Amino acid sequence: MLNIKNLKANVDGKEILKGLNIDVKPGEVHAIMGPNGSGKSTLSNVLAGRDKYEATAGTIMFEDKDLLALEPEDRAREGIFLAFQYPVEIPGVSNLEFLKTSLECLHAYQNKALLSAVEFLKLAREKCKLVDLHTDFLKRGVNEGFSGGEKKRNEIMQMLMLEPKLCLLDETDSGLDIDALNVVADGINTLRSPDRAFILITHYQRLLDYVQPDFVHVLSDGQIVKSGGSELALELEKKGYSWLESGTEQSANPVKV
Amino acid sequence: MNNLKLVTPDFTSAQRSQKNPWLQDTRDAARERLRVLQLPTQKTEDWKYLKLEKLLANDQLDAQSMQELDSKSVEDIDELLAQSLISGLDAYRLVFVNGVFVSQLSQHDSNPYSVLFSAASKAQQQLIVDHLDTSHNYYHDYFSSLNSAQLEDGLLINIPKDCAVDKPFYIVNLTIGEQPKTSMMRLLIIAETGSKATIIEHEDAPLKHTGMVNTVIECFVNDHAHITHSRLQLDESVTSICSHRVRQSSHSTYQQHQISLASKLKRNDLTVALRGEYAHADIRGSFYGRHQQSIDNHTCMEHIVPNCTSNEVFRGLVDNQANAVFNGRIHIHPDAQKTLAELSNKNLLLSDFATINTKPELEIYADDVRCSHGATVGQIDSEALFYLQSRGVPKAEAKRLLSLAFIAEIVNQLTDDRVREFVSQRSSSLFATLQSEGAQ
Repeated sequence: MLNIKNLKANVDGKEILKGLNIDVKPGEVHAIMGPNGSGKSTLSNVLAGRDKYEATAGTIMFEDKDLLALEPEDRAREGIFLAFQYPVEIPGVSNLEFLKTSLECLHAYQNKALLSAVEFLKLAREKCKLVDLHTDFLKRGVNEGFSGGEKKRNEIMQMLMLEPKLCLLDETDSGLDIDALNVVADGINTLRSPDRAFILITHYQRLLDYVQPDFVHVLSDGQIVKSGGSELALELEKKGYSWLESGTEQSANPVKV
Repeated sequence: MNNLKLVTPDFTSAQRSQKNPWLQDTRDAARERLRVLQLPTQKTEDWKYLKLEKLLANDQLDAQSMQELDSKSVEDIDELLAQSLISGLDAYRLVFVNGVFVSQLSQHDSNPYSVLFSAASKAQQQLIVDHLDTSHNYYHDYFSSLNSAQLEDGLLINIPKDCAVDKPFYIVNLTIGEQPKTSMMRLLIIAETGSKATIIEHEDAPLKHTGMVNTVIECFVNDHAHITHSRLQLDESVTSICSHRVRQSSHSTYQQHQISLASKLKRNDLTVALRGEYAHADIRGSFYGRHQQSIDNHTCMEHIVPNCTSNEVFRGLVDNQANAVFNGRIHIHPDAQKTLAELSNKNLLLSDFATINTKPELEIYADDVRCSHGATVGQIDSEALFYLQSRGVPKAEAKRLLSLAFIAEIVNQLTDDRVREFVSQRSSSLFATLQSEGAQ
């Protein structure tokens, strides 16, 4: 589904990703862990197509499409969803309006029938309930005055609405209390299916207690330095990242399934 | 500048209309002022950001004598109205075409509150003469003096004491005609003690015909009276200069919502004089300019007596090479203790070539007041833009949504649902062109 080969990327002229390889197949859940500054957020931003993040080498193929050639909106329409680390507040645009516009844009592109106003509202309310957000949130400005936890739940709510093929979650678990973490994990588990993949970018093992990943990758200094199964996350939790940096235990090839 | 076709009126001619002779004193006084006043230039502080002489080069400042429409034209315009007016609005509808009232297009049968100057009774004539040109010091005001000097007719809205008018007044002025027209609009609103009314003004040019409108509005809000006044200036093809003066007595409220599209030149001068204690003024406006358009809003809150409050919020969107000016002044007179006055103007520049000159001013001569003023100029938030794009919304659509969101604070304050819906839809379709225009 997603195949990244030798990806190098710059932010403000500084090389952050230094030849990254990863291969994600439908149905898989990949966790990417790593210390601060290792390039985790750069990876998610390059995938989503944010302006300042410039890929200088390598390829990203998403279902046989060259992802780097697509505008951010077209990546979303192809089925990629990024749950933001810092969701943006947009006063004056209501959540409802935002979701409706978004859903219509995606459905039109994917040749799906547009929902009627009633169907849409029903769906939105249903998803709100799933992430434990009061339906009053729909009328408020996008993320306007939301608490940190509410913002993250809103990201999951959008993910549930838009039903993407590939979900990228950029530190969605950071700063959450246990209840909110449960909600986020439930959201992900609800969406898990054989034709959908996840990339969870996280600092901690915590989220992975609730969502068991198929693969765990350790990102360090712009490269994947170790890959393994879910047990790798536990090991990291115990030992920290420092033991990896001393050795050059780099997996030359992307993980094969 | 010699080749400019700027025509300024000559009032010495004996050909001048003597219509409604009881207005002659008003006309004469204005003509007297015009012996001294001249077309403002950039050396005049209040006009320094506009190249007026150039902008008015093809306009005629002198109003043509207006002719009644024939029945065919009335029918044609009637069809146009169906598409361009606020639909479903239950109101006293008063339709003017090029500044001339057209009874056949209006719906005001049971309306005892408004009357044309030309149809005014003796008592109403007296009321009009007593109020005209008294809301403001017009000795410095070239364009409103021009309006008064040529005054033939106008509309009086007089709300009797303690009367709450059952439905809004919907005053429409359309600019229509292959040949550019110059028209004068004159509106006099007198809200007697304890009265309450809503006025919706709508200026439009549904066929995009060009022309010029010189408007003077005077509004007297007496003790405990409440006026809600919405002004929709949607005539992008029309040069418009408007002098709008409000005079408030004690415990009165005046609420204005102004939605303006710029044109070759659109200038609004609004003065609210708070002359009675515990009066409150709430002024909200949004403006949008594109192409090579100009728009200039000058406002002044005159706090003359103690214990009054005023709140003013303006939002501007400027695209392409358009030029916008906002000058908001709060003037606290020495007696106006315990004043609470706020002013905010925020602007978005949608292109690298658009300009905005904004100047909030505070002039305070009392020592126990609370005032704040501020202005910002910015661009569309790139984070918000990316957030929307990352959810599949194309850039142009995202820009449209964010522009609408920017003026939502103003539009959402429109009290009538139908007016709000109408404005939302017009803005929405207008902003759909942002991207294509911006890409040029």
